[in-house]
Amino acid sequence: MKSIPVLGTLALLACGNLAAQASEPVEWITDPAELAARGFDPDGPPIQRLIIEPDTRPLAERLAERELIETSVDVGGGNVRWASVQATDFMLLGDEAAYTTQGNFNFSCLAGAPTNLFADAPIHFRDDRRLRFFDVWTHDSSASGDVEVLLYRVCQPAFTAEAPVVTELASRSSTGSGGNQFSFVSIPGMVHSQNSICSYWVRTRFPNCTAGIDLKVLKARVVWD
Amino acid sequence: MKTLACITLAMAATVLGHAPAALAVEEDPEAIAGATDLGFYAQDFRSQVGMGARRAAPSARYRSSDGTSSYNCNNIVAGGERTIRYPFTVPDSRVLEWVRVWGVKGASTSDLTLSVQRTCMSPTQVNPTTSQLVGTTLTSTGGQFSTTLFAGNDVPDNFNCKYWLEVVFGSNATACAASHVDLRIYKMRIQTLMPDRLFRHGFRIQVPG
Repeated sequence: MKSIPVLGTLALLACGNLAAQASEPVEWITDPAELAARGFDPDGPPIQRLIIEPDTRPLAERLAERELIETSVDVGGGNVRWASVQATDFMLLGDEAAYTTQGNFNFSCLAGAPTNLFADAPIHFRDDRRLRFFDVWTHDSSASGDVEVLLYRVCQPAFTAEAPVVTELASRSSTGSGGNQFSFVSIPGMVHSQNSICSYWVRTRFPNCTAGIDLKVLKARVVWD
Repeated sequence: MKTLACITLAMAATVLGHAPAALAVEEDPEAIAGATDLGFYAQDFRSQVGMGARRAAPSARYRSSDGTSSYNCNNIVAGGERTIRYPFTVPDSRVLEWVRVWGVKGASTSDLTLSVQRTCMSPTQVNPTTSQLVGTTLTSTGGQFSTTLFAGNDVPDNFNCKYWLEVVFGSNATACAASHVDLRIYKMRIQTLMPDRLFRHGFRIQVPG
């Protein structure tokens, strides 16, 4: 009966690989300063990051390409291929930190003591879908900084306790100071949602809170196949 | 479908006596009351990170500092609200089986009470009726934990009811922990089942879409 435990071991090893799949181009973030800049413990375990090749084509051309593959769907029905979070879904990572939504779908951190530059919003995907695009809407009227919005995945074994493995799947940052903005990035490789072992969230990173309502996150959306 | 294939393989190994006991109990179709021959293919999972919590009051202090989007109890002195909640929805066509919670419970931390709750109201019954479907208390202090609650194969009534996982970090008579890193909720996950159904035109095997 030796083959039976071996089978079980192989199965659990195969399923217990919480790091990236072979089809996911990833690199490790180990620099403490870079970890801290993303809101992680600088002395904590490293995280993974998908390697994204920059697409320098004009936004209109890239959107036109997406139009070809994004056919109409039954909104609210079984064919919906996206999930989104908006400003009021975010929670700053400390309960004392000040923020405002301006009574609307805006989210900004506010100066005060203590401040917190990071806010998270859980996001849910349908299971076993290939994640394709990360869309971000921001408002940037600040000449001194940009607001960044990132997509993360945290995985643990399906039925046991173990240290979580975090992967940064995508990030977008506002640019300039021209006000409302939209941008997106393609998620490379074959990144599939795995709801039995992974959870997903969107993180906002403000450079500071003195900019106040000059820096806002408005909405983020993930589109899958 | 790689995930399902992996889990099915692991389940087979479990039946053959290799995998951890928790796995065997949680995925054994025979453990589902009244169910017969239900395949794992009909299972579906939905999870949310710890920071998806709704605090029962602003005095429920928290910090999330380890980068995993965990909810860390930061009531490190006596006082303050200790209840947080994770609302969730189970589609009408499914039954609620398991709720699993991952976290950290270190030394000298308060007991952690976990429960699945349902509150129902209707146009004719305006007094909310709250029922606890299942509950458990964790007293361990060994660090990382993963625990499960069996919700009794509850058939959801979303028209009149709302559901949530409730987490209580001990009593407000004492600190929940000495430090915010000692008592954390990494994430929660609900596991639901779509049973096979008989339609007028024939029998249909449901596969999560």
